[in-house]
Amino acid sequence: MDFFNGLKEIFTTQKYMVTIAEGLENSLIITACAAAIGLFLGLLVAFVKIAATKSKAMKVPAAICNLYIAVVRGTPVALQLFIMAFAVFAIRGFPLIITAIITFGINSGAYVAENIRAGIQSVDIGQTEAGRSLGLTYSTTMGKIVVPQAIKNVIPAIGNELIALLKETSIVSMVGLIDLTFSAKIVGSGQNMADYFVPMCVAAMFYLVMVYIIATILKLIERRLRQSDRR
Amino acid sequence: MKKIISLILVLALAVCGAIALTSCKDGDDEIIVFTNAFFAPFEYYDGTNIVGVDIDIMNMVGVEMGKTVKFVNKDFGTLINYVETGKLCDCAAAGFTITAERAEKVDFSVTYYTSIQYVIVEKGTLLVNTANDDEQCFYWSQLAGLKIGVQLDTTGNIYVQGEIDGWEEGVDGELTDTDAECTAYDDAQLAYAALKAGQIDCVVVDELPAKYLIKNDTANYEAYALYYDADTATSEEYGIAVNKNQQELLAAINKVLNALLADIDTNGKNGVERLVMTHFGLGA
Repeated sequence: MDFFNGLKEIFTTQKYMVTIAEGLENSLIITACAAAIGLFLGLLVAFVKIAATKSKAMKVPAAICNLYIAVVRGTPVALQLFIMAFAVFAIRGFPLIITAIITFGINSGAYVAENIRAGIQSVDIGQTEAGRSLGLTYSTTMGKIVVPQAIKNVIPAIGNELIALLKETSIVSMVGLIDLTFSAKIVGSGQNMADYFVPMCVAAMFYLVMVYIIATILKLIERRLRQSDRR
Repeated sequence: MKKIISLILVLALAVCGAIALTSCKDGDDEIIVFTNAFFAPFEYYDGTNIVGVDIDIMNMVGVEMGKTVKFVNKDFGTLINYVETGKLCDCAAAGFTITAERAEKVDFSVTYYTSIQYVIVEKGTLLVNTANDDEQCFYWSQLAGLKIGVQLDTTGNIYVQGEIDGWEEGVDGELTDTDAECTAYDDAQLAYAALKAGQIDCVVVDELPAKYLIKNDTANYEAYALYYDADTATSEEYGIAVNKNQQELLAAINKVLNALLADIDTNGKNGVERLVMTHFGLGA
């Protein structure tokens, strides 16, 4: 019964709810902004890598993109955050939330890039050949024929990345930001409830609900995109 | 395609520039203080605000210097390095024990509190002794073979690890070769949670945080001072860590601390002790 009393205490004490709300807000802001940056970077990198297979001029940018992906995927995001906060953006008074957004955006970009590249390359080469044969330019073929089909393929993978991103943001307290996990830690700290267990369970519930919402929205989008499919 | 890419790049550059510019608001009228707010009553979270004895002291320093004071929570182990670099903060108020190693990297204020290492155990696990100064205590030798939890990089951690590894070549510590294990946690409360979960046998932490941690659970847990023998307590002195290039700030902190220490009331308590009691909920 202690557990339920603890739950009741959290949900009925305004101070605790305000703390958790602030954490939730920061988590959502970081996730949303980082996802936008990640999507943008991912698209850019994916297109550069695809273009490099056709044109010599793109070889150097593609090499840079490969290095970017190798470095970002090859190091833990916690360390990237650490380096960003204490070396790259080690500027007095620089808002930490922007550091976090940029770090997670760059991190997410590498994963999204590979997802998108896989999606584009999974579209049959015959589609490109047909477009080019009809006299469309390369970019029109990509934009009007290949990419719309690719989007349908990458939505589940991007959704996965978004969900992973949301949960990864739980490490931002390392540099002094209050996110959902850390707000639970505050609620559980000495002066407040002096017990970590119940607040952590509450935070877990919030994550679960958020992920469920994201998953549901993605399911709706996928269903809409699959309307023309015959499977 | 090229146009789009160049446009995007220009936009990205513009955004970066804008961010860099806005962030260059200079922080000269601001004192940035790093702390680790899981060390009640010296610093702890009240809602999303960091409060505590150290915080009160630093706010007084802010008033003294006519600057605003900003507190940021960081992992305890990283604090000294931040202060040493001095790039992101001016000082750290986190119940620091003054040690020679730390003093090489940062300047310390005058001592404002003397603390003793405490041991938290489940009631009845260890025999409670009475030292020669009538203080109830545990001896280091009683910790032999126990799993000991500490807060990472605190003096508790340094002492316990030192006693296990031996302080220098050939000189054994109190716990050398006793199967005692030291496990470091990010904060003292996490160590206490591990004790409650049965993962460790005891927690070694400073006096006040120890008393604070068990405040709600004195029926099952007890905390007493850690003594070397009946005469020698494991005591230490707190100071505020200040960057070596911030002499003006250091002077202001010392001025505030000296004023607090000299301000003794009718009960013989000085200003810092009264702050401690306020944050303990014992009233001023």
